[in-house]
Amino acid sequence: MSNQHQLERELEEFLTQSRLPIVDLYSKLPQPQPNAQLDQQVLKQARQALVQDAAKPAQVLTKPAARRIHTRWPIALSSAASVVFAAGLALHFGMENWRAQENSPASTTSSSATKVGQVHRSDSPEPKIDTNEATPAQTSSPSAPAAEAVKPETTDAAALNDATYMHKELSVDQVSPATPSPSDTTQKLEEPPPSPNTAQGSAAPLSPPAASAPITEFARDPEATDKRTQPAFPQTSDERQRTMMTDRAATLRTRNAEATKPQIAGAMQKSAAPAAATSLAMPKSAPTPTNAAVATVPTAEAWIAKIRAMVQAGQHEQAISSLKQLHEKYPNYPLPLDLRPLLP
Amino acid sequence: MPSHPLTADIDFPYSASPMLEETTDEHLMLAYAQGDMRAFETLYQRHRGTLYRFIFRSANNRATADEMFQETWSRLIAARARYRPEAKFSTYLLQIAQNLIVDTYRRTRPQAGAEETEEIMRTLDAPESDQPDRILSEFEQRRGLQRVLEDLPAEQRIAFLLRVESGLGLEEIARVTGAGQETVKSRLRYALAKIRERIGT
Repeated sequence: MSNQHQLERELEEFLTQSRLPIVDLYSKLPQPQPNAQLDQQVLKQARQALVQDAAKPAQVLTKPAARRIHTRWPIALSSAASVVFAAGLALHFGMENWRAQENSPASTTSSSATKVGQVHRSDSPEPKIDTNEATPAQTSSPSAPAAEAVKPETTDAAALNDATYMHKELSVDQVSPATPSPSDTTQKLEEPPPSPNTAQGSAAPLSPPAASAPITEFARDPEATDKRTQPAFPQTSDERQRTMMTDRAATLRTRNAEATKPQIAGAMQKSAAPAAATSLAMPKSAPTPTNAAVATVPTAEAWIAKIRAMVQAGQHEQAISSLKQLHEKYPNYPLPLDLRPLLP
Repeated sequence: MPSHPLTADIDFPYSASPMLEETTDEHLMLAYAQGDMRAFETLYQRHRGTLYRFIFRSANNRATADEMFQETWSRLIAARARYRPEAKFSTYLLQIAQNLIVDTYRRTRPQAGAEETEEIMRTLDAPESDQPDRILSEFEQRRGLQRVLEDLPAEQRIAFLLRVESGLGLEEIARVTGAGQETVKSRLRYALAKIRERIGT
């Protein structure tokens, strides 16, 4: 126990006092020193390090700047890319909405003519849509009694359309006349420009929206494009229009291609459009378009030009009639101010 | 300016000014990091002997001591930009050396087998303290201290050397070695007991 106590005391003295026998003894030990060569090596190394430091500042000054540039670029690029992406999305969806509005009568008409009555009977908050849906059905079937029944409503709808023209004039005028819609473009590609006589002579021309929308879809669908090149399908413009009425019609035609082949062949021999293919695609209650109805349809701009020509030629009755037809076919097309007085 | 007794034979390109002589180690190191070579020379003059002896007595080999001495200063030079005067410079320098010593000890630790160890223990002379009739001369005491220092476990030897050679206190030894103060105390206690047992001081 005393030994332990002595050790503790020695340790305390060792840690606190500098003059101890053991420390004195240690100080008498040989005191080795680093040799001169070792000293020179260490000092040389220290000097070289400073020389390297002196050479570095240029790099040190340039590196952070470069790093700052490198760190700033991705932020700027990503911000710009985000803005472009957002603008592209907005433009895309805006165009989609606009196209949907433009093509809405076509899609509803092509899907089922029986919907027309239902839509007219319902109290829709958007009467303009009702008009758009009803108008093609009426114009495409002059002999249909149902179309005769809804004519007064069509007139009211036309009046409503006039009201909406004023509302949409600013937005549509900026886009539509300058840049024709893709459906119109596709229509131009698909069919040759019609003659004025054909457009005027047709008692009930085919509704352009009804034809343009399927054409657009058909043009976008590569499978349908491939099918179009097959010889089993009708090759005339009438048949093509009817073929492109709806996707459903194309599908049904594909399924029943073998069954319809003789009819199509017969129709081609007669150079007339048979109703067989369309009857497969359209409901039984839907009216079958005639040759006049499926005649080539002019674009709205060309039509307007022809109407203006009629007005200038003094053919006011024909101009009014043609303008009515134009308005029925293109209910959303903004009528020029000089032609609006012609409409009742 | 009086030259340092330990560095009188060294051809230093610069002589430390009186101002540098009065500057603390920490400021000298900061000055060297800023490009002042004279500050480093002053620093080197102050610590070269103490550091070398600490390393030499820990390594028990001149060549190894030279190598570790140079490596210690190399590491200090390399870390000049990162140096922060949070502790005494001597503690910082000895910590670098101690890490090197420990690494070297781990690499070169003798791996004697059981039979070899038994043979060494059998052929060893009896400790001098076991011979009470013998009065040790001062030379014999110094020789005994050298031998006992060589025989001490590395941790105890380092703790002892940091105290007697570098004059560090308990807290500083603990900082350099990375051990707790009680652990350092215990190591010093064992080291003192073995030295007293061997040389009878």
